[in-house]
Amino acid sequence: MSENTSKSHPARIVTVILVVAFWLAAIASRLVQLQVFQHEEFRRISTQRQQVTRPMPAPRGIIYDCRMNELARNVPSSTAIAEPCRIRDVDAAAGNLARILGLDPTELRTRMADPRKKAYLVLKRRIDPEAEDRIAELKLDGVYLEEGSMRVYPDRELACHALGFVNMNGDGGAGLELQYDKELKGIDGLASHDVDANRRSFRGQVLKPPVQGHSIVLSLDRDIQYIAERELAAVMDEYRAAAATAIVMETDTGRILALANQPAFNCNTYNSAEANLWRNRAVSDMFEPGSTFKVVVATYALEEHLTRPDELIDCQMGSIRIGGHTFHDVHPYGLLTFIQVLEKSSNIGATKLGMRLGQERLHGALVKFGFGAKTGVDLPAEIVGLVRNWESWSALSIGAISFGQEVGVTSMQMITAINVIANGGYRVWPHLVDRVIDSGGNLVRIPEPVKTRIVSPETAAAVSSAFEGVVLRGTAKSAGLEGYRAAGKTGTAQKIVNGQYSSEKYLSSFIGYAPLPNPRVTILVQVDEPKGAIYGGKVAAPVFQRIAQQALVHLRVPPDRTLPMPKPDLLRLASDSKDFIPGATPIPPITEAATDSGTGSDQGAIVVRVAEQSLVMPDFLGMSKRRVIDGCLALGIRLQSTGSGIAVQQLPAAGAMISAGETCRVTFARGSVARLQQVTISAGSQMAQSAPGVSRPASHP
Amino acid sequence: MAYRPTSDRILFITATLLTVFGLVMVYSASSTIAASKYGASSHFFVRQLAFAVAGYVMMIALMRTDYRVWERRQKALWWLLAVCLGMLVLVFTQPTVNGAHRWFRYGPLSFQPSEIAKLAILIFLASYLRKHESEINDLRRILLPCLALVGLFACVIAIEPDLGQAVCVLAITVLLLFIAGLSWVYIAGAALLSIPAFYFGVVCVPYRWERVRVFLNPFHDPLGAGWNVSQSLTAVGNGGILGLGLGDSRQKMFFLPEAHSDFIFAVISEELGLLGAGFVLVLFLIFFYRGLKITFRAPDRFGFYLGMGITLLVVLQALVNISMALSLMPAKGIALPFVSQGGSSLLLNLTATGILLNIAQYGEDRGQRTIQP
Repeated sequence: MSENTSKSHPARIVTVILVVAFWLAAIASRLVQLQVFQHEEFRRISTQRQQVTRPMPAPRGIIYDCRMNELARNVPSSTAIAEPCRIRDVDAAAGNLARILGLDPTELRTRMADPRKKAYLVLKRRIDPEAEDRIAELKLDGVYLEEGSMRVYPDRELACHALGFVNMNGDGGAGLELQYDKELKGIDGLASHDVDANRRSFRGQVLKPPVQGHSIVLSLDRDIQYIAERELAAVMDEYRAAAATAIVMETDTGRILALANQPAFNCNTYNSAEANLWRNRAVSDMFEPGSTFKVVVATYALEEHLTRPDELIDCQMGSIRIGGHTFHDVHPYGLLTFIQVLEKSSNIGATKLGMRLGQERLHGALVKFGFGAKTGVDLPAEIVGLVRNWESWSALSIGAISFGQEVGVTSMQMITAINVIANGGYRVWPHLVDRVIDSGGNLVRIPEPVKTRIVSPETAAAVSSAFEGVVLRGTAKSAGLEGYRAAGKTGTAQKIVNGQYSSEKYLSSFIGYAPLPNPRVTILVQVDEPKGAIYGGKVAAPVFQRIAQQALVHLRVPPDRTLPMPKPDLLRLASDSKDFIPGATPIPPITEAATDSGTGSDQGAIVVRVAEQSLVMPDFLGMSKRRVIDGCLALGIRLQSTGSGIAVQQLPAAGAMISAGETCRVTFARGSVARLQQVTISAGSQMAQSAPGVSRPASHP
Repeated sequence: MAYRPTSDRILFITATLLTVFGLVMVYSASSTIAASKYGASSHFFVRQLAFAVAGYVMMIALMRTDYRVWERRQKALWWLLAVCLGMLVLVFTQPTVNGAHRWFRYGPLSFQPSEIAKLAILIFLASYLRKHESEINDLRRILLPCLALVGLFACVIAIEPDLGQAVCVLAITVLLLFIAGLSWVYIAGAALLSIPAFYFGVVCVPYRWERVRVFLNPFHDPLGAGWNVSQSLTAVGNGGILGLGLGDSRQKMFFLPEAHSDFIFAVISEELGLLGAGFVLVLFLIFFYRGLKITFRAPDRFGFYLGMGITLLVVLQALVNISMALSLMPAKGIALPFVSQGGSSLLLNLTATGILLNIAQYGEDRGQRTIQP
């Protein structure tokens, strides 16, 4: 030690050095303890705090109509989440958040004070992008956004009962969304996130990618659906009815082209509609079918050879006594043929046919036609209706059932039953989903169609001719179409109120199909509690007429050449008009507010449809030159004709679209050449007229 | 006393390594919080760099200034003390930051007068002890005036409030007095006096007592009072031997409060593991060794006490800061010298090192350079 240090106290300096050394050693051993021996433990603690696994919600499948229009899709949306335990000034934060999110500040304060929601409180779902930005600007610890997606129905009310909705948990809540929930849902993925102390992720790793749900392609046609809903709304308005239902079914296959109920609700805001409105009346409501039911009895009596179409049945001038009870007809009739019994809808005639069948066979007929059992339509909440076993029938049941009392049926059951007559004797399986596809558009599955022969083609044809008579001469003249032959049956049933048949509340219905002889569509129209008029022929048949007329043009069904040419505006596509589907919102609505607004005309672009008004090319084949010229003049299309005689060839083919002012070429020929050519060409045009995607049996009895 | 134009290279390199390493770690630890708070991830780094440059200017300037000038010009020393005290009083006019008046702010820069006060007191003590070394146990004439002056500074600093710096000033004073030969009687007396001081200053002040309780059981309330310490321990423990990698600290993602200043050692331990933490410890050990060596070779008692004071000030602050991060001591706001973000602290540490390096230049050569037989 040098001279100057020796003056001080070496022992004290050594003490200080020793303390420092000891301290350093303590630190070193503490480091070893923490970083070597307790490393695993701290790694576990830190992983627990800093890594969270969060599910990656799988995008739900899309719902398309038959032309691949999106009826239900997903748009990204955020949910605002708060962790109140991490917010310093809850009161101020609640005030700010309430202002941005449009919530009630007092209520939000209460919610944020809830001790159970201390660590996770959903402030608001589906917040709009502007609010997202403003929340980010607040830079509040303990408030963050969770990315998600929400279901949007661009057409709002359109097909609401068929589509249903998705509830807040992301599960299907009604309609097809519920029925096909498993397929639409997909498989949620899993991601591991490195989060900061504010639970914000700053690095993420996908552990398991989400698998998008399958999409479903419906048989539903958005345009026909809209036509049906528009006409239902009009009839509701006209007759101040309580409710109305329409089903448009493809006759041969049971594919449902439209399923509409009024009143409707907006699928996007299903929660603000009364839950009562969510019910799909077409499959969940039961009613007494009334006279429409006579068809079942009569058809089966004919099938069992218990009557002939031309047999005269004594309708006993309007009254018959069964089991101590007298039944009456609305109008007293004497002798009516079998066909007339149906055309005039005689209760007595139907009862007599029912009695010929007897209880057991009548019950068997009901079961065969599908009553008392689910139709199997791919919709939830279908009911079986009410068909009591024949052994428990009373003496007068056979009469009552023959004209549609003492049984409970659904609209879906009724249209399926009448469709048996329309398609030549088959009971088909009504269904809405054509195919299930994956997110890449690959086919996953096609539901297996079911088709069972119930009655012979001859029986069906005989009853069908009676139905045509109903439209031509009978109770439903207002159901007649222009350019097409139609057939159908009216129904006017008294509703039961407090166990009594009501004299004020009726269910007016019409079930028909067109065009004969090979019907493409079967349509049910039902109006609940119309005021002012009650008869199906007056209330429901005109609705059938309007829906069928537009739907056939829409399906490019060429008008019947044996009938007078329809007026050109009847051949125009309804969807060509600018106000068609006015509620459609082509730009996805992002926020709740946007989906709330009823009129969507001010939102985004308007769907641009075909600018020119297009017409369906009529079938001129077999017509005289005079009639072809008249037809072309009426439609405003030019004619370029070659040859003379009857038309044997036309271009464009029947059912093709043509605009007013365009030219069509028609070749005429005479005699046997004409007949020969006509046969081959009409076979060709027959093929051409089937719309793509619509399977159609080559021939039909 | 041979004049040696070359200084202690190893000490210079050690301080430089600590400073550069500190800049890197400040950037790593502060970038996230800076980006979120100020919108620029380099906010703290740029300021730290500016102070480092200023610090090196001061260090080189003082390295070339004979340290004995402080001894010779007593008037200048008193002026320095007066200015420091003035600044410590004036700082109360500044708006509070985190509830304390500690900083002068000028534009983007801020300055902490208590840092320069620490150095001024060291110079004063060295000068005082050189003069009164042999009479140090003369309570009334020598000891009390000295303690009164230091006590005044400590009190003003404590009122800011910045208890950490105040304790630091008192501790270094007591240590130097101890080395100067303070009687055990006084030491025992001070120990007795500190019991009621601890009771009224700590036990009766809820937030300080809370820190002591947290120290005793850091994981008792990890989301509340124990948050800082438990987060710090988690960071250190999670680092393991090799660390998560530079820049990859997870605890700095708002888990660790003051990750770039008081708890920077935790971030170092997490990102660079035992190796990085050990590197820092070794650097401070070298600083201690070289500092003592310079002290023992100092040509006079003033140099001895000044060198000893600077060495102990740097090393003890480092030990306290690291001990806090490892929960060996209750949490207290003491920066890790050279490394922690904090401009004044860096500036003054570099300045003090400059003085130390100057002392080294006058050091007696005790034969290391002579050839041994």
